Amino acid sequence: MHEVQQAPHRADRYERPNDLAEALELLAEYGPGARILAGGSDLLLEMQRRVRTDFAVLVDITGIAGLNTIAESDGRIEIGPLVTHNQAVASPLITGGGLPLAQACWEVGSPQLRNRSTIAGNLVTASPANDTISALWALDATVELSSMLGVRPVRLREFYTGVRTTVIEPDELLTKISFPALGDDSVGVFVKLGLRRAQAISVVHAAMIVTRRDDEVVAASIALGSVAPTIVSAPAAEAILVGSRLDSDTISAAALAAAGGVTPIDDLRATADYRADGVVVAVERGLRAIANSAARLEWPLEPVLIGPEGGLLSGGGAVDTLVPGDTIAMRVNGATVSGETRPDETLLDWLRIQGLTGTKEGCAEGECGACTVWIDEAAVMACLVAAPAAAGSTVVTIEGLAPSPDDLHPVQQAFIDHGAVQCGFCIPGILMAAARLVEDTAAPTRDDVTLALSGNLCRCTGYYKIIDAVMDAAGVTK
Amino acid sequence: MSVGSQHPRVDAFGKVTGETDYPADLPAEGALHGKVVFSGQPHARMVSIDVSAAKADPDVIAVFTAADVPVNEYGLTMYDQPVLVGVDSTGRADVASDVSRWEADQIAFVVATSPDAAARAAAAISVEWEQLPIVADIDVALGDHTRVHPEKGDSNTYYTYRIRKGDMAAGWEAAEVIVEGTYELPHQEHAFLQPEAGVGYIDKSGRVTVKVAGQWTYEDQAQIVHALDLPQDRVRVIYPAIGGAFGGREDMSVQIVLALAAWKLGEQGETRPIRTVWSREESIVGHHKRHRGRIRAKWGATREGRVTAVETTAYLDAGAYNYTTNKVLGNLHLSVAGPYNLPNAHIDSHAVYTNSVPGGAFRGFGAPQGAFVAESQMNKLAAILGMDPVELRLINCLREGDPGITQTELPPGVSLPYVIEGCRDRSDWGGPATVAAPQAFASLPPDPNRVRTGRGFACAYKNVGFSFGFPESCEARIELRGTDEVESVTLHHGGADVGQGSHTALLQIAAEATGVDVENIEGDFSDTASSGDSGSASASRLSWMAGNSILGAAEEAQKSWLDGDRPAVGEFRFTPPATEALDPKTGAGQPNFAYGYVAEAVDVAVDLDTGHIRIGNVVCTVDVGKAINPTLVEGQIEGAVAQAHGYALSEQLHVADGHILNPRLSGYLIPGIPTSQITLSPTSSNIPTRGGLWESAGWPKCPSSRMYRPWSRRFTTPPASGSTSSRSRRAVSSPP
Repeated sequence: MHEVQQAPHRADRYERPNDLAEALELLAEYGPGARILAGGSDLLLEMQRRVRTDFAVLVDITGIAGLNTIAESDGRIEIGPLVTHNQAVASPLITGGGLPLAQACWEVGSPQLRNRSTIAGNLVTASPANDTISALWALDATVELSSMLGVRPVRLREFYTGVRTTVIEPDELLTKISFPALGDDSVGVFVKLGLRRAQAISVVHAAMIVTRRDDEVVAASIALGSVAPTIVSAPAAEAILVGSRLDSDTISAAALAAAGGVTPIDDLRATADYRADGVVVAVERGLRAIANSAARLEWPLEPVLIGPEGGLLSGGGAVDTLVPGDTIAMRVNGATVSGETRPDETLLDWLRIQGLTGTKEGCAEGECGACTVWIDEAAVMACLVAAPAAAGSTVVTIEGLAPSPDDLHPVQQAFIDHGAVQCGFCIPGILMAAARLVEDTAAPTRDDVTLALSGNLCRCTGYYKIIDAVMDAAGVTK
Repeated sequence: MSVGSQHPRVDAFGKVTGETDYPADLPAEGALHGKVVFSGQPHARMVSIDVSAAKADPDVIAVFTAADVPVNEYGLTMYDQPVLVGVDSTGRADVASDVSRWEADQIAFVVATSPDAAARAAAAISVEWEQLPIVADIDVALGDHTRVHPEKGDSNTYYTYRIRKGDMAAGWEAAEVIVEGTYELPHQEHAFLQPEAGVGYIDKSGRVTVKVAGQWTYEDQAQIVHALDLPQDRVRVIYPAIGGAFGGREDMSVQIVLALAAWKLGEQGETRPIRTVWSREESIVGHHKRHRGRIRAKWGATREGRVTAVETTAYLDAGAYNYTTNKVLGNLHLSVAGPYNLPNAHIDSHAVYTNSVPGGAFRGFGAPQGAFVAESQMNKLAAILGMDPVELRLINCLREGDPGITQTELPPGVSLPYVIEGCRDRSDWGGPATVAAPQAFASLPPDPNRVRTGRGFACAYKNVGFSFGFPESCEARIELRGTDEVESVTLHHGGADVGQGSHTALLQIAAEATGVDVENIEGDFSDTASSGDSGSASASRLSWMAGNSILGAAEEAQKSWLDGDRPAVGEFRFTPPATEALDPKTGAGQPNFAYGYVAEAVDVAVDLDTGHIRIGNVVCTVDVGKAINPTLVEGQIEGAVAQAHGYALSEQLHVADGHILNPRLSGYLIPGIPTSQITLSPTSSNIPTRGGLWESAGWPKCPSSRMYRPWSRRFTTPPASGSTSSRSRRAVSSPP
């Protein structure tokens, strides 16, 4: 058998505690045999690919109240473990006091993924390419780890022990992320070098924060990603910056010094040399943007989210415990649909088995968007959502997009009128993303359309007629 | 008038509402689940296979192996591949069936009551392999003593075309400048959005039936018939909606094993259909690719820019099996010297077996590789001569009445000069490039001091139809109903709609021919039980071939109508002008009855520090002949341009020692939604043989032609990704 044909790892139990104490009890009981399910996008893929096979229980924490908030307290910004990337993008607290984190979140995956996946999940997955780690590293964040034995804070810079490994114990839950809000004298920026504009995995990324008093740099913090087994600081570069006036020569020297401290590898995305050079360019341009007050120039005034509030992870609370063969129910296209499932079944598979085959599988890894559906009005990739976690939710699929067969949704009609459909396999997913944009945004620009559809792949059309059709549909809706 | 109208696609409603069924959407209820088991072995001899543990699983219905295949061989143009690699073949095939020559050779087909059970059973199959040396690539294939197909002789090079035209000594004598290059062409993955899937069952008439996505129902049927040794009328192939193809469904994937299982289980009284669905990883590992190749070219020209000599040696990596390599090679052979009038040429084109993924059909069918070489050479010539690249092309381009590279006059309608001039004028060729700076870092404005912009130009041609004397035809059947006047029409046609919109176009042609509105014509498509042999949806042939078959059938039906028959039925088989195989020594002959011509100008900007490239305005000028449906034609051109962007800039399949290393869409990067603009200037020559909806628009997209100006560095190996094709950004941005 070929290695890509291996059967996925399966969990045999799903638990959905209603409060934190219950969650910690479950973790204490199962220990390494349990994994925490929040957005689920990394976890489901790791099971599919057998990256992790040493557990049998999924503990879904989306039923616990109060974990999806962003707040400020004593000058620190506090982020709950269920906060999604798009929630952070939409948060004035984070864009104001932690711009590098907002920028990092904005460059994670696609709109659908950002509506579902969490910052805490990004931290715990612990890939050196994970964007939010560097931003929070530069912001000198602290994570709070809770267990039945108590709560311990860990500085993020001491959280990682290697590639995809952390200090978190099996019975611990990451319950809070916090960092000091940037003051008026501090400017930060996150920069990422990928191989494409959206859905890019970092080849190199950097987060940097500079604090100045009377034009003199009094503190500097630089974090680099994808250039070592973990995110790393750039102390030599920071030392060069402190005491300087952030002039051009200093910036160039700091950028070279940053590259001197990294240990990148060759892989399929880039060579080590390209990465080392990428550090120079990333740090140099990031620092120049800080010096030229350009760090916020490209930040969108109204980010395209294709979901309300960035996809609040709250869940319907329909299931407490589930084993393979149990039945779940949810509202799908206005009717209650119920069917058997198992702990790690994807919402995509579950919907298709219920006969809703309009939602397509093109990649099963959140890359192509053909499985885009709405959960509680947020566009998400159904291939990266655990079906039990969607129980009790309100779901809309392509079959429910048109008010009636005689009354297509404006985007559906526009796709017919513009010849935007060829083989049509990607079209249900594209329509679900486009319809969300059209419904949420009064007058989308072409840039908004390309952003909203940046998580959807089409191999036939070249996208030109698709963009025209969405613009047309937006006009109809207005 | 139906023909020429922008009639909406007849299948659009079902596709925008989710109603349309693709192969993986077919019966979920009560179906059995099949799993194709790949060998995972690029080159190994099977010593033994034990399926007893798999069969012992109570959820497993059957495990099929080589012993179950009556004639264990298949292949679109030659039978060189076992259906299932195994030790216990029936002995009725010429292919040695105990050797896995490719990591995705199939060794078993497991049928179980659930996908999980099938996967479990697949994992329980135990195989003992004797490893053989892996012929990893062209270098190894040419130098090594290991033969991928030892029964085919002493060399891995198994197919060669030659061109010996004019007097090479005189050509070099006349040459005042010489340009040379060795070009490494990469694989390209089709990445159609719908991975392979299908359903097998016994239909009500007792036929072994496969519903699957393909490009030629009758060819799929023929290969099933051969392997299962069944009469043709006992096998039926039906295409439901097809989720993209681009050549990637010309060869077999799940067809034969589904038919095998439906047949064998049907004989045991099993009535449940058997479905199988490949994952994206299985799809990328399990089907062929655009060929990688190595092409060395040396051209000579006068100072005035007239090309006097072309010497080229091309190798295509056929991979483990021929698929359509011999035909792709032929098409590369015709295009590798470009669409130019060349007095003297010496071209050798070879196909080489390796233990890598097979090469095969992919939009353009060898022409993109050829065009890349020819247009790169042209740009080098323009640079060395200090000439305008468009002017240089106009000096050399083929014109009406010119002899082609095969020493025969080109079929009439050589519109290339007009296409080049049209593209030059529409693109404002002498003017500034229209392209924004690439945003290497999304969070930062571009650094204008580190951006260069420029424009590139290229042109190309490609055949319409099958070529080289291959006998081809296309059948249609039309039924007219009504009493005094024709009220409704049924069109039976085998032509596959792979997404290009052929069913809409064919109904428009039928409407035109019968005088009935498209809405009153029922299309019955792509079912061997009810439609004739259309030939394939490939080679830019279908609209033209099918259109003519429909015109003929309509004429026959109208005769029958006048005779008083109700319904009046007309059947017709259209045969195009004959073509010839090339002379094996000189390459002389008339290989095609028509060509299509295209030119393209592209504006690009590059970030000198990161290598990020942004495409700005694209002007694509294509002679489309008579556009049956202009919207569909535009869609084909736009899609081809986007695929060419991917081929040139981002799509990089990593293959090492016979293994594909990035079989996912997260690692193999096809273009996402673009920020570039496109200007289409389809020109209509009204030449009836111009042919199809359209595979050609992307061919001229050569990175070298585009990036020569902005980057002062030509690429000899697409994609032009600075991150992996160069040692560092300094190497990327340094002048030549």
